[in-house]
Amino acid sequence: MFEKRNLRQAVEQLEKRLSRRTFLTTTIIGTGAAAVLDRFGERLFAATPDPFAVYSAIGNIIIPVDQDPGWKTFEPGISQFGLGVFVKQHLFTGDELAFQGTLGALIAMNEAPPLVNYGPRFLEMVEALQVQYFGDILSGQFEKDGVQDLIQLAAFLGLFSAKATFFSNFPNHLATPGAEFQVPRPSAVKTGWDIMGFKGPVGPDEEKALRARYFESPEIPGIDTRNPFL
Amino acid sequence: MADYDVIICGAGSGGGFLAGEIAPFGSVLILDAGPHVKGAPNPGFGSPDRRKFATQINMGTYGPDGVNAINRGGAFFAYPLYTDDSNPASFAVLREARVVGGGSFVNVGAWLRPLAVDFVDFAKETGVVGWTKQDLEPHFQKAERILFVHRDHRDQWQRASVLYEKTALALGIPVFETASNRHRCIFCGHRVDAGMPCKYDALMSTAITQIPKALDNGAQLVDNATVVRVEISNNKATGVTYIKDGQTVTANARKLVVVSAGAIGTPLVLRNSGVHLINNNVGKFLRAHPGITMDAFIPGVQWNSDRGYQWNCHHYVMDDAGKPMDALVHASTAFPVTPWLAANVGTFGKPYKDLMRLYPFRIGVFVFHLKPGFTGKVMGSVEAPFVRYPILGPNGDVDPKMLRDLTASIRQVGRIFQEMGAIAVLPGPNVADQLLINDLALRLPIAGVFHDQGTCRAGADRKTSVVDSNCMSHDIANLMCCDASVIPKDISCNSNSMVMAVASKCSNFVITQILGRQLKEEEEPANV
Repeated sequence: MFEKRNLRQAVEQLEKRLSRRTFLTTTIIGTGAAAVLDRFGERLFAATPDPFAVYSAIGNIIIPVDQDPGWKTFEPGISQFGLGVFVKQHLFTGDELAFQGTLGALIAMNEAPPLVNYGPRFLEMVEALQVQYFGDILSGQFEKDGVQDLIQLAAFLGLFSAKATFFSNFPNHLATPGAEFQVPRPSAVKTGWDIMGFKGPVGPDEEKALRARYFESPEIPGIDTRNPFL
Repeated sequence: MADYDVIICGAGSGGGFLAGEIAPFGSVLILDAGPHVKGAPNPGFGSPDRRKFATQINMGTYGPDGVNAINRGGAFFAYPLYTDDSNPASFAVLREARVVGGGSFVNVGAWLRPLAVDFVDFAKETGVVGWTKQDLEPHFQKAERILFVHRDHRDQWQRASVLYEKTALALGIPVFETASNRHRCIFCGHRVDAGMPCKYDALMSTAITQIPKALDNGAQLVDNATVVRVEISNNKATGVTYIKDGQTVTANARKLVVVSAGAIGTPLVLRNSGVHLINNNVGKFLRAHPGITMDAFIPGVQWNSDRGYQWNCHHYVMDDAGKPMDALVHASTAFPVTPWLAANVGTFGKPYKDLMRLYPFRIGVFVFHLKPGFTGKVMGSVEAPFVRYPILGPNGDVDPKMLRDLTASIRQVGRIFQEMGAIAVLPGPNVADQLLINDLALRLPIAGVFHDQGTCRAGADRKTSVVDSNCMSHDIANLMCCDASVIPKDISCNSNSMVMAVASKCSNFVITQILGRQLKEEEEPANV
C-alpha cells in the first residue's frame, strides 16, 4: 500500500539505500531524488495509480513476450513478487520506508511525462513510446527537466528486479526443505533459466555419470610454474 | 569457566588452517559465527548433512528478519551479495562467509599465488621481515599438498577456455593455467552456477581438511558463536567473550588468543576489545579487488559449459611495454548469475531476450582490479559495522586508477573476444572512454568487491601496522591475528593461498614459541 505521508523521508531513504548498493546517486548522476519532490510537489502524485501496475508495465518492457514467455505470461503475481520479495525483502532487507520511496518513484515515473512535456503518462503510452521513454530514462535524458534523479530510481530498480525475478524460476523458486537433491518441479511456463538452456540441479543418475566421466581424469599437481611474474 | 591453551576466533582459511596445525600440540577452542555442518569428509560425494546444507542456503542474502531470499533455505550466509542494513557504505559486499570453513568454504576454488613483486612490496610498505617469497615458499607448498592443489587435464578444459588461451597467446598476451584446490570435482555447476557451496566436498576448504584434523586431535569447536570481544587485562589477552544461543560465555586462554575473523571481522573484534584505542591502525589500510564480468557471444560452437563452471586459465592485462597491469583476468564460460545481474545492466526488451537465447554461445571473463588507488577503512563495531570500500574516495569520487585499469582491461579482453569471432561483447570495448567509465560505475557495485585484506597489517613498526612479523599484536601480549587482515600490501590474486601460507607460518611460531613444543617431521596431507 502506497502512502503519501512522509514521502520525502521515504525517497531520501530509498536514495540512501540505493546509493549504498550502486553509488549511482552519489557519484555518477548526483543526488537529488528528494529534491525533485520539492520541485514538482503533489503534481508528481496527482493521479496516484497503483504502483504495482507501473512496475508490471516496466516488466513487460524489460522482458516482452515473443516466441518465448515474458513478464506478462507470468502475471498475476510476478509483479507482487518482484516488488515485495525481491525489492523490499531482498534488496532492502525489509526496510518499509525505502520501499515506500520505491513506490513513490514508480508513481512519479508514470506521472512525469506530461509534466515535462514528453507525452502522456507512462501507463497511457503506446508500447513503442513506453520503450522509448524507458530507454531515455536509463540514458539520462531527463536531467534538464529536473526529474531524472527520481524516475531513474524506478527505472533502475525495475530493470534490476524484473530480470532477477524472471530468473528466480517464479513461482517455483523455493528450495525443498531437507531435500538432498534439489530437482525442481517442472515450470509450467519457461523462465529465464529455461530460455537460456540452463539444466538445473544435477539429479542422482547424472551424478553417477559425472563421476564416471571425471573421477578418472588425471590431475596435474601444483600451480603453473611457467608464470614468470611469480 | 573453561580454560584452553589457545582460543581461535574464526574458522575460515586462516583460523581453520592454523587450528589443524596446532591442535596436536595443545588444547584449542575454535569459535565461529556460522554453522558447522558435520559429517566425515568425502570428496566427490559429500556427507548427507552437507549435501542438504548446500542446497538450503539463502543464496547471497542475509537480513535481520532472516526471510529475504530468492532461493529461500534453512541456513544463510553472507555471500556474495551482502545487504547489511548496518553497513551504509556497502553495496555488493563480500564481507564474510559465516560458516565453518569461511571463505575457503564458499570461494570458487581458484588457487593463485601472489606475484614476486607483491612480496617485495610487503617489506617496502611496512618493513615486515620473514615475508619474502623464499620465506613463504615452504608454507605455500605445504598448503598446496594439504588442499590437493592441481590443474585440470587439458581434456577436461572447457572448449571456450582453450580457444581463449590460443587467441590471447596469438596476440602476445601470456596466459597461464589456473590451479584449483578441488579434489574429485564432478563439475556439477552447483557451486558457482547456482551460487551455493560445494555439496560434494570437492572444494578443499578448511572445513574438509584442517578442521576435521583439529577436531580429531581434541580441539573443541563452538559454532554459531558471535565473538563479542577479546578479554584484555594489563595489556595481555586472557580470553574471549562470545554469545551462543543468547547466552554470554567467557572462555580463558592460557597462552594465546587468535583473531581470525577475516579482513572485516577481525578489526571489528579488535575495536570491540578496545585495541583501536591503543593502536589507531586497526581497521585502516583496507585493500580489496573490485571485480567486473565481461561477456561475449560467439555463435557456431556451443561451449561445453552445460554443467561445470571452470576457471581453466588466467592472464594479466598487459600494457604497451609488455608489463602486467593491475588487472587479473579469469576466462570462463558458464556463470548464469551474470545474465540477470551484471552482464546486461542497460539491456532490456528484445535485445536482452536475444542474449538469453544466445547463452549457450556465451564466454565470459571475470576481471579483478588488483591495486586500487584508494584505501578503505573498517569502522564501527561487531554489532554495527561500517566499511568504506576502496572504490570511493573521501569525497565520494570514484577511484580514477581503478577506472583507468579496468577500461584498459575491457579494451584488451574485448580485442581477444573479437579475434575469437564474437558478435557481441559486453561491455563493448570500442565505446568512448566516458561511456565505458559510466558503464563500469554501474557494473562494479553489482559485480562486487572481493578479497578484502590489510586491515590489521603486519609490519615492523607499530606506527604503521597492527601486528608484528609473526602476526602478534604490537600492543597486546598473547594476541595474534591470522587471516587476510595481516597482509601488509595488496596481493595480485585472491587471498586464499596467501592466508593459508601465513597460517602455516603462524602455526610454526605458535607451536615453538607459544606452546614450547618441537615441530614434527612433515606430516602427510589430511586423510580425506
